[in-house]
Amino acid sequence: MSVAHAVAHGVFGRVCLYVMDKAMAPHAHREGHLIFHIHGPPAEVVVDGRPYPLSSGQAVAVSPWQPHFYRPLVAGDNVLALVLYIRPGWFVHASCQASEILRFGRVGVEVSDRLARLLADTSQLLSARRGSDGDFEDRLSALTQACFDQTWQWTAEGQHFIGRERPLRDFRIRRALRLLDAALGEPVDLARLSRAAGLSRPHFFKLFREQIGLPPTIYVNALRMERAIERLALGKETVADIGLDLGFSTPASFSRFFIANGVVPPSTYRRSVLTHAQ
Amino acid sequence: MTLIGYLTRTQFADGAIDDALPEEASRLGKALVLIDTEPGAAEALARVRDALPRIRLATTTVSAGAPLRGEIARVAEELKCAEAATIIAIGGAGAIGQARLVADAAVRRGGICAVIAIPVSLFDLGLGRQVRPRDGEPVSCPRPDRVIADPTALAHVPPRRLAAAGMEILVHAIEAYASPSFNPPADGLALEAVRRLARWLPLAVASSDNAEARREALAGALTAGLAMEKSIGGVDALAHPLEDDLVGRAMPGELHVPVLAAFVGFNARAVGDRYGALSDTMGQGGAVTGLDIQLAAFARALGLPAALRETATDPNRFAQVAVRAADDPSAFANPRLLTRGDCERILEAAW
Repeated sequence: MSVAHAVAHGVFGRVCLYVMDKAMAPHAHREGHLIFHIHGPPAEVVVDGRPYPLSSGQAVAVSPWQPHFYRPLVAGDNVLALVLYIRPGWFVHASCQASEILRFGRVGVEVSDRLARLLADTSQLLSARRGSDGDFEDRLSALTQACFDQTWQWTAEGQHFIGRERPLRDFRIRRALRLLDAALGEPVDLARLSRAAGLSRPHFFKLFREQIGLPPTIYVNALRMERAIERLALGKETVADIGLDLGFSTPASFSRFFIANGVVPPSTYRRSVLTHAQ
Repeated sequence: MTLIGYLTRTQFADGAIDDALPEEASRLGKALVLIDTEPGAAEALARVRDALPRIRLATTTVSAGAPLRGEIARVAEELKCAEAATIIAIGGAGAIGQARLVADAAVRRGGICAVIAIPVSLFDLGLGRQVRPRDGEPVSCPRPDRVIADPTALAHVPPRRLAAAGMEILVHAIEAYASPSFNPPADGLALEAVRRLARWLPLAVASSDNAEARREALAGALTAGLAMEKSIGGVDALAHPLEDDLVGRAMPGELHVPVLAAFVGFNARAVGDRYGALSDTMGQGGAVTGLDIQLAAFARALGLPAALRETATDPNRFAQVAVRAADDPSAFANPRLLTRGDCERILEAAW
């Protein structure tokens, strides 16, 4: 089973040290995402349907709302990874692109000597449970900035830039997003949602994909994960209550969902955040 | 007197130290003067004392050149002893950068520390987004609260030193414009800085009593400093380790042109048509050669080296310099991905 060694929540977003042992389900989130290989055999991350290597020399940068998932190359082998979920607001001062905040220029990040050092410092501070001091935030900021800058540097080998301009959002899709957010926890009836948005079901799916970059089901999963993480970290309700509230009929189905979208079971995640906050 | 309100409050005029400073500092009871060893700093300090007769001024000195993280605690202690919350920094990047580092440390601890910058040399006047200490990584620091830009304070800078310092800030303006990050106002400022410095720096260097040329050159440095809201690229990453090898044998800034000229070829495909626009601006519209050739000719006209072989640089050190440069944080700000091998090739091209 996958294990969370340490988790830190802060103004920057979340930083997790995970032992990953199996493939995840395709998912997306509103944070920018950096995945670094710390230990174990090489693996890969599939981003927008294309695999990118995750190894000691290669990290992966995923922009907000870009669908992706982790996949081991050798089944059963454990990989220790440092995973950053960066809040776009925290990173706003460093954006290189006017069209969107915190969008990486390309997915593949080459782990240079300097990046490797920043990475080692960050994981060390995190596993020593010192993630809450200013030092940690400084390291994290330097690490994110360095990766971000690198993904916008020109290389002769080609760009693999994301490139796609984000279209202006259609008012019907904006309405659907509002409805999804308000009715989170209720079973999602996509046919009803399409009608409420004033579109036929196939047209709704097509437009949603075009404008948001992922299917509505994955979007809903991301919202559920956000709420789940928020409430797990607060530590006030039971895991079962949170699951029920978010529309899962049994604790086991909530657990399966959480593992597929967020590596570890919800109870493990809560324990790591709480241990860390103490 | 001109009050320039972009990014911070800048008073720009001949005699601003005597006329504008008393007004800007009128509410202070006490202040710490942080001065470096730039030529002209001592003279400026005497003028500051005359301008602020009723303010109790304690004084401390740092070296010229880049500031030091290792000095932050000492200067902060001096500030505390002086019972002051304002630093009046007089000098070049040494004094003003040091004051910004101290202010940044104070803000991080939840305290306050205001900085009044009085530049006596050509550099970013403390306006660039980051401060680059000699003993650590660049830090994003608050800008000075006030800049008193008085061109008459440049009167004591020896011509060669002025040329090298002006060249360094010109190189940074070029890098700011060539950087691919999106910041149109900074682009406009960068081009204007290049235009002003290209036109007036040679005149300011040629004759120390040409007041108009020194004024325009300082205005160029101010404009370049404002443009350094944009990140600047890899030239610092290579030029600073080279300079560290040549302490006392090269003026700060004089290695920047050979290095930038070599970068022009390396970055060309990543920068696109921006080098062309820079070349037009430098040549005042009549340019027929490439930017690298123009830069070399410009440096020679100022009496500065256009290639590393004209300096005391040791080519056997290139491999070590390349290792340090590829590892330097400013390597990430270069428009094109910069590896150790690339750094070695750039150094060879600069030879």
